[in-house]
Amino acid sequence: MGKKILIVDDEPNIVISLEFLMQQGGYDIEIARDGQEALNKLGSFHPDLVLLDVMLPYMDGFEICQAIRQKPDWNHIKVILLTAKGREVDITKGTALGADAYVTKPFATRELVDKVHEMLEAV
Amino acid sequence: MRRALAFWIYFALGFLTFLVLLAGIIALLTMQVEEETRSGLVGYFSSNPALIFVPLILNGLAAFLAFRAFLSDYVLPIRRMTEETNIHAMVNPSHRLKEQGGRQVRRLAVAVNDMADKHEQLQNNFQHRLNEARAKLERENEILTSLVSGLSEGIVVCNLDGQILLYNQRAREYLGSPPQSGGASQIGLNRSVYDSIDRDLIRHGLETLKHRLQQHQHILPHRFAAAGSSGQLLQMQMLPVLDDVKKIDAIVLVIKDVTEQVEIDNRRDLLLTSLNEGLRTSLSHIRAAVETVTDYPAMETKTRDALLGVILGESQHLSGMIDQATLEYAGHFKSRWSMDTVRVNTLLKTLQRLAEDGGIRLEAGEEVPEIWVKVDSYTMTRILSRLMTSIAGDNPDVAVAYSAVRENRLAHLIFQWPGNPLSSEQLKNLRQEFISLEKEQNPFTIQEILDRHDAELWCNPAGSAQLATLNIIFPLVNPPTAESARVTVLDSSRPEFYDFDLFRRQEDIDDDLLSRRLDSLTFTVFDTETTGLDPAGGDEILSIGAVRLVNGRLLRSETFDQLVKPVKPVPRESIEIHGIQPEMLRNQPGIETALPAFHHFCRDTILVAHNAAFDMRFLSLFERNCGVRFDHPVLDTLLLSAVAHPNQDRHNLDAIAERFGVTIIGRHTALGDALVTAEILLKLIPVLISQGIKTLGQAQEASRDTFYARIKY
Repeated sequence: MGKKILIVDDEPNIVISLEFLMQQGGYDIEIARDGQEALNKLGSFHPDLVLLDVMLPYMDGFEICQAIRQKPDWNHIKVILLTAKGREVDITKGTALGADAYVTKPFATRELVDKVHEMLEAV
Repeated sequence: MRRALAFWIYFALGFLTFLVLLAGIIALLTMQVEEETRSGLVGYFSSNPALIFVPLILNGLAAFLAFRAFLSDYVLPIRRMTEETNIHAMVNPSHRLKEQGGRQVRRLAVAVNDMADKHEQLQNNFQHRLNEARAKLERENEILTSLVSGLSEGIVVCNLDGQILLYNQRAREYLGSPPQSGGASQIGLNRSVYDSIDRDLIRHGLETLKHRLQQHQHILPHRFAAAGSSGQLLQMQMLPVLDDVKKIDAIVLVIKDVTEQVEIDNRRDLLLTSLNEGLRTSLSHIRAAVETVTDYPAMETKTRDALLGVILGESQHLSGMIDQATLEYAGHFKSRWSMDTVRVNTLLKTLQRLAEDGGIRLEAGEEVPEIWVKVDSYTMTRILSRLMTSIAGDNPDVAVAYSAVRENRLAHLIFQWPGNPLSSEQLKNLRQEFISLEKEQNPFTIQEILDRHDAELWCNPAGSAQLATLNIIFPLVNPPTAESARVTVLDSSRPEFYDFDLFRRQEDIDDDLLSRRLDSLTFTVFDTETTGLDPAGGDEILSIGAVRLVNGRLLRSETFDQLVKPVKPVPRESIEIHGIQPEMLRNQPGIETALPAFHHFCRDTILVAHNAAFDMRFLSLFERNCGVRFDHPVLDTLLLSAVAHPNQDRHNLDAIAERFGVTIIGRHTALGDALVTAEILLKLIPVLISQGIKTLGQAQEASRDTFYARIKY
């Protein structure tokens, strides 16, 4: 069974690339455009990994991350936080809230793909 | 008049009168007797002249002894006692009359001393009350002084003549002191502010302020820039002090060092410009490439690959630019926010107090390590306090435990309590809240303030330990350096930095200096230590010490104290007197540097020294080679003491100090002696004024006339 990735981002311009890249990597993809949609799809789609943008409307990536970690069923889900904020406090907070990796925009697409592979292989 | 001379004149006059009287009596007697008896008598006395001269001489001798006894037992003791009574009354209340002279005079001395005891007691009572009142005033001044000296800005208050009435340590740092000036600064009470700041700048500022005042405009400070003593860029704000008819009486200058700020601004401008250009260029390349690729789908693969390569390369370049900018300038973007470097523990203690005021129990958990953060502590403690209120709102009677840890380059504040965590909904609302301060509302939301601090916060629900946690992280900073601590120490000593009596403008500045009253003058009281007594014979100055006396106040914080390296070695025997060891002089400036610095220190003042003739000879001998001239008016405390109390035998520094009740510290250092001399001058001035010697001219004239002026060195 192919691994599943949930992409949570509200900017279509980056979603196009992310979706394409992950499909090329052989994963099943679902897209969520805000926090609520993300939580719904987490329940229905059962992803193995979430690419989570921090800057989202209504509910930010940190909160979604915290929500994922609070549910024992979702404990195995890998979380990669994507953000344009690269401050040390943000990285520390992301890690403290249970993110597995923190990627700062702009990022090299190849490196992101490699990181996703690596994290899903380890499972 | 000299005492001995006076004695002989009085004696001669008395004896002459006696002779004339005697001759008159004899003449009258001889006229009463007959011719033969008269010639018989004349013949008798002519052949025995001893009969006339022996009684005459004996009589003269008796008269001389009687007169001398009268003089030494009555006249002179009474004269001395008069002066001593004066010394008691005006200078030193514990001074008592020496019992001397005849019995009645001694009794008088005892009686006067009894009265002096009562007088002193009365005066002590009075002095006690006066001291109490003064202490209160002093306390108020202290508050003012510490207020002013605690400011991070420099403050200078001056009157319209540019005379400085008040300043703080920071202003001194900014406007500074030239090197090798004996520690003397350009900034001092009664000094001219124009020594440090261009006169035209101040004049222009005054005109602007006057204009605004005439237009009844709201008084805004006038701003201008000036250079500091070590090349800093200073931003000055000039504010008027108005008198009761709304005329400008004085000005306040608030000085800020903006060198760093301007540098940051420049760098930011540079960054924006370079980003702007860089972004435009790269974007234009990308856009051109993308448009070409889309508009010509049939292009050769080679060209297409080349264009894609351009897009990739330029995008990478853009990413690099942003990374670089964030790395280099991150710290500078928040520069305008006023932040202090604060110990995390201090921040938490303040919070604890605030929370307790609001009825919330906050307890120290694990020990807080010695870490520092840069925060606007007022706003930040209020934000934290607001968070505590939220926690308590959900969990009544809760006790919150606080602690903090160091996490890499971050400070991590941890608040834990048994009960409900703050929900993300609550936190979200809190972030959008405006923090309300005492009077006004802070114009920023909590989130904006957290962003300014580079801070982040989140809440964890109760885990296995059954404790909910609120986390806040800040970037750490280094503890304040020793340099800034030094300033604080200087601030806490309380030098005489203010003198509001100088507010009275000196209208008579153009009048002849000589007709100025003694108590309105500014003096530089100085002393020198030398290798010997003979400047012409090659003796040199080793040390110059001086202190300023302004408006009857000794300014102990405005002193000049400079050792001077002599050309020739210091004679062994002189070291015993001045105590200046040759190794102390090794790194000191020579006279050619020290003398001009001293000259600058005492500009526009009256020079005063004890036995000034001696010091002035040294100064005048060296001044020519140093390119300065000491043409100041000079007063001599030795001569002035002799003028004030001509019947006292001794007028050396120690004797006067003892008579006047001046405590001597550091005698035989130039500065120590200068300080003693200055205190003596302070006490002499009222005595001189009571004797009608009121002006500088009169004091100089009286000095010239006194006996001691004839001593030549």
